[in-house]
Amino acid sequence: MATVDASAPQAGGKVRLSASRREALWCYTFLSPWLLGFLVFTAGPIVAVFYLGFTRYNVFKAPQWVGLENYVGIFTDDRLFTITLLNTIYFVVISVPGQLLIAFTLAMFLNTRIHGRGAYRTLFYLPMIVPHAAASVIFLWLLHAELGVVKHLLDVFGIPSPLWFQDENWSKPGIILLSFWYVGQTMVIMLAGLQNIPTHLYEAASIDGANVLRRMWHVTIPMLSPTTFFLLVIGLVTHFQVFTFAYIMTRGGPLNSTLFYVLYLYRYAFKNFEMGYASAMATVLFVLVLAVTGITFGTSRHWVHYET
Amino acid sequence: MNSRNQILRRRFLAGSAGGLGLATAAIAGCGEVQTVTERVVEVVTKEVPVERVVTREVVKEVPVEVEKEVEKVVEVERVVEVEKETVVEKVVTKVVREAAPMVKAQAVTYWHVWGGPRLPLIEDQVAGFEELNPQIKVRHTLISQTGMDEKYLTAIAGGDPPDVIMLHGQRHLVAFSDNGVLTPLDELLRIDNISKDTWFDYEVDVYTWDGKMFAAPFSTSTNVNLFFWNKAQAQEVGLDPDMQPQTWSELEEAAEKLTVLDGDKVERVGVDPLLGGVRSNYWFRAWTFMNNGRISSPDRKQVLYNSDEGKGALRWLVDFYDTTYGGFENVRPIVSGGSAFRNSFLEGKVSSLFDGIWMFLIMGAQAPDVDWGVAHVPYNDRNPAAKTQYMIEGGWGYAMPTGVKNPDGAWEFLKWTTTDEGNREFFIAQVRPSPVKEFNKDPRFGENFPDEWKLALEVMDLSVHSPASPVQEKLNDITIQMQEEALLHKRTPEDAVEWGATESQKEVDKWWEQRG
Repeated sequence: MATVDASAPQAGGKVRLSASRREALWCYTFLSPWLLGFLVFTAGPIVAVFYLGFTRYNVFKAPQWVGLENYVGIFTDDRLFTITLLNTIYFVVISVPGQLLIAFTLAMFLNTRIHGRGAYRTLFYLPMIVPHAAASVIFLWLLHAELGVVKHLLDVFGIPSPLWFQDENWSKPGIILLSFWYVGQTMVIMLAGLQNIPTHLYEAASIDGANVLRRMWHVTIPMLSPTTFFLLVIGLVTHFQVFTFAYIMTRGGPLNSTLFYVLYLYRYAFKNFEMGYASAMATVLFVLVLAVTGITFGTSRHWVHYET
Repeated sequence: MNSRNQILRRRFLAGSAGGLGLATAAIAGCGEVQTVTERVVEVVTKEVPVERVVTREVVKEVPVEVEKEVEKVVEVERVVEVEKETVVEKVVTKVVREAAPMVKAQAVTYWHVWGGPRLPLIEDQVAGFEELNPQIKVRHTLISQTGMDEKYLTAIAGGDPPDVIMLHGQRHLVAFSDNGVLTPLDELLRIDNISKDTWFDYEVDVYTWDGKMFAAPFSTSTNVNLFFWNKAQAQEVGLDPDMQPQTWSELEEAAEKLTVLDGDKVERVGVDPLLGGVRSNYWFRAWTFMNNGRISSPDRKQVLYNSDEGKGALRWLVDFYDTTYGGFENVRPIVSGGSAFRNSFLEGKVSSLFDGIWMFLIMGAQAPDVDWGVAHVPYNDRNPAAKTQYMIEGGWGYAMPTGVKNPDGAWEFLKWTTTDEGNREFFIAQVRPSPVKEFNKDPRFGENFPDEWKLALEVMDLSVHSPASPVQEKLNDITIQMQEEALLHKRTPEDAVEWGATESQKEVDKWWEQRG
C-alpha cells in the first residue's frame, strides 16, 4: 500500500497526496458518472424492488407493508405462476443452447478463408441492429398462418404449414425461431474466441494425426469453453427475461402458451397496478436466475478450460 | 378558477351595458354616425377587463352581448343608426390588441393515443382551440396505446402529470379515480352550467365512480359495431341482397349459404362472429348482451355472466363454428388475422364482417366497387327476452389529473374537446356519433351515408351501460382464456363460463376486501 500522508498538512497549507492516492482519486472521478448512474438507476431500484415485494403498492398511494402476503400469493394462489415459469424455462432450455450451437457453427464457417467473409459476417450480425419490436412484427408476417412467406415456401414442397402464433403448440417454437435470428452478437464473440486459439495447437494435433473432427473436439471446443461459458451465463440471464417478442406478437396467447414470466409480471405492474406483487415476482425471478447462474458456475470447473 | 371567470364575465357584461348607457347619452349629444360609433367603442372598451379578452368567452360570447346592447340603444333612442357589426368588431379588436402584451402565455400539456388518420383531426382540434384561445398553447403528445399505462403511471407517480389525458373508460377510469389521481369534474360542470344531460346517460355512467364524474366522454363508448355484408355474394348464393339479418337464426342461415367449403378446407368465410378478433375479450360479452345477459352488477361487486344467457352465448358461438366450419380449428388462421380479415372482406374473400362504424369511410375509400349492406348485430331469437342491444363498457374520455400545472387551461381545453365544436367537428369528419347528444342532429353527419347514419343513431339508443370492474384487466385476461378453451374444446362452454366467472369473482372480491 502507498504511504498515507494526506492527513499531514504540508507547509503552505496544501494537502499532498501520494501518487497512488492521486491516481485512485482520478480513477473514481472518471468513474463517478457511471457509479452515480448505477446507484440511482440500477442499484436503487433493485433495493426498492426487494422492499416493495413486501408491500401492497399501486404507485398512486404510499406502499403498505404486508409482510410475506405477496410471496404466499405467488406460491399458493396464482393460477398462472407455474404456467409462466414453465413457458419461460421451455424457452430458455431450447433457445440458449440453440443460439450457442448456431453461433458456433456460423463462427466456424466464418473463421475459414472463404470468399466474401466480411460480407457474411456483416450479414449475420445485421439483425442485431433491428429492434426487437420491429423484428417481432416482421416475424409475425413471415410466419403468418395464412399469408406468411414461410407458409408459401412450405406449400411449394407440399409440407403443411403450422399455424405458428395461433397454435398453442407452435407459438413458442415460433418465438424461439425469432430468437435465433438474433444470433449475431453471440456469433461475433465466438468468432473472436476462435481467433484467439493459438494455431500451434492445431499444428501439434495435426502432426499427431488428428482429423478435423478430432481437432474440433480436442482443441477448438475446450479452448473456446471460457467464451462459451461467458455466453451461456449471459444467455441464461437475458433469456429468463424474455418479454418483447411475446408482448408484441402474441400477448401471451394462445391459451397462455407464450405467457412468459416477465410478461406476466408486466401485466401485474402496469395493467393491474399491483407493483408490490410484481416486485415480489421480480425478486423470485432474481433468486431463480441467481440459482441457475450459480449452478452453471458450479459445473464450470468440469468443462471450462482456461489456458494456463 | 371558474368563480373568478364568472365574476369577471358578469362584470364585463354589466360594464358593457353601463358603457352603452353612457354611449346613448353621447349619441344624444352629437349627431354624427362616425362619432357615435367611436364613442360607443371607446366607452365599452374601457369597461372590458383586459385579462379576459382573449379567453373564448369574450371572443365568442361577448360580441353577441354587445350586439344586443347596441340594438337596444338604436331602438330606444332612435337618434342614429350605428353600424353594430363595426362597433362589436372594433371593441373586440381594440381590447384584444391592448390586452395581448399583458396576457401571459399559458401551456396546456395534453397526452392522447389517437394516431394514424386521426392525428390530423386531433391537430385540427388543437388548432381550433388555440385560435379561440390565443394565450393558450396546447402541447399535444401522441402516446402509443400499448405503452400508455407505463407513461401515465410514471407521470402521475412522479408528480408531473400532463394537464389533460386521454384515458379509457373501461380500463383506467376506476383505477385512476379510486386512487384520487383525477380531478372530479362535477363542480366545474356546475360552475360553467354544463349539464350532464349533454351526453348520453350511459356515457356519464362510464366516467362516474363513487358518485362523481372523473372524466368527460370524448368518443362514444360503442364502436357502433355493425354487421356488414357483401350484397353481390349474398345474391349469388340465393339470399336477399338486402337481407338485414336480425336474429341468430337468420345469421346462421346466411353463414351456411355464404360459406364455401372444399372438404374440410374453408375457401370462403361466410360469417365470423368474432367481434374484435380471437384475442379480444370483447366479443363474448357483446354476444351475451345480445342474449339479454349481463356481465356485472351495477355496484360492480358481482360477476353475473355465469347465467343461462352467458353460457348460452358461448355455447351458441362454439356451436356456430362447429356447424358452419367443422370447428374453430378450420377457420382459425383466417379469422385471427385482425386487419387482414378486414382486408379480406374488402377484397371479397370473406362475405361479411362485424366491424365498427369506421367501415363506412373505409369501404368508400378502399373498396368503392363493393356493394355492401349493413345491419344491427343480431339477437338470440330463441330467448324470448332477448333483443338487439349494445353493451357499453367505456370508450375514450378526457380527464384532468390532480395537481396539474394549468387547471384553468386544462378545463377550457377539456370542455372544447368534449362539449364544444372541438368534439363535433372531429366526429363529423370521422362519420361517427358524438357522445354529445345534440351534435348528432347536425345534418353534416349523415350527408354521405343517410341510411347508414340512421342505423348508427339507433345503436346509440339501443346501448346499455355494463359497469367495468375495478380489476377489469384481470377479468379481460380470464375472459380470453375462457373463450379460447371453449372454442378449442378444452372445456365445454358451460364449464368455461363457470370457471371464468368463479375466477373473476375471486379477483373482484379480493379487490373490494383490500379496499376496505
